[in-house]
Amino acid sequence: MAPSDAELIALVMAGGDQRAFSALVGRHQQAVRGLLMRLCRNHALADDIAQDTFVKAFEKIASYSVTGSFKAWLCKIAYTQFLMSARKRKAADKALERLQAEPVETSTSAGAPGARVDLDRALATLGEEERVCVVMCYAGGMSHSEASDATGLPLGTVKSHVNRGKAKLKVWFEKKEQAA
Amino acid sequence: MTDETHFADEPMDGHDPFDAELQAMFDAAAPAEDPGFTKDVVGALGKPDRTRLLALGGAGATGSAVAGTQIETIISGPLSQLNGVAGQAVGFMGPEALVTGLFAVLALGIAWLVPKGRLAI
Repeated sequence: MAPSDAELIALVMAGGDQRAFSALVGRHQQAVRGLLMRLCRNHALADDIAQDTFVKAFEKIASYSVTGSFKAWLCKIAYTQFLMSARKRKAADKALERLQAEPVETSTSAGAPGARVDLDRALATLGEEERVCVVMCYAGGMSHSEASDATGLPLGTVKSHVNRGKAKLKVWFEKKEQAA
Repeated sequence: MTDETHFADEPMDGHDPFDAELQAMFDAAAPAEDPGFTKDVVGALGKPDRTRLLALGGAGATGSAVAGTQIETIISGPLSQLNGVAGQAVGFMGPEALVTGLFAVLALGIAWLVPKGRLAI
């Protein structure tokens, strides 16, 4: 039977076991990379930030509280790394505006490219906080509480953002369907 | 990437068909699992440790070299002014003993770091 996250984390905490950490990376990379890809909309950048996220997680593993979800903890680090990266890139806002207008980068690494492009275009119509909250809950698989903890937004605000964001996405996809 | 913790604390829209549809879209757009990514991460873990090890070793060697040649001159004055048992104890210590002490401190430092996984040796 495969060891649980808690057992692997204990091994990493006790002796910096890289094999145990490697198993954790394998287990959670999709959530972290998926979250960052939806936030960055640039696969190469998302993977770079995801790598930094896991390295940071390894270094800070002692600060992980066993009571919380490891995936949510990773996603929180990923979001912090994403914000730091965005701050470093002075032109991040301009790039975002450009990306909202242009077709989104495609990649061969994930399933149906058309659907992915549609999703990214639809997400680009949301406000920044709405997009972050929706992406955290759907791409990162985080609960509203976890998203609230990761973003520092009040729980009620996260719920509102998710609901409003979802409503906007629904309208966007309905319009697209009618146009097709 | 369906997850049991998704909205676990707040299943507000469990009956909204669009909720499931949206989740399916996110799942479909999720990146495929990439063993190369895991390998890259594990490869990156070793780098800072190696740098730290080199920095510690370099600092230790430099410190020992400086200590071995200079420390007696630097501290012989203040030490000679010590009286009592402490002064006598210090009087027995030559540069070699001081360097040995420094190495011991260095070794203790490494011994503290290694079990925490902060050094890859």
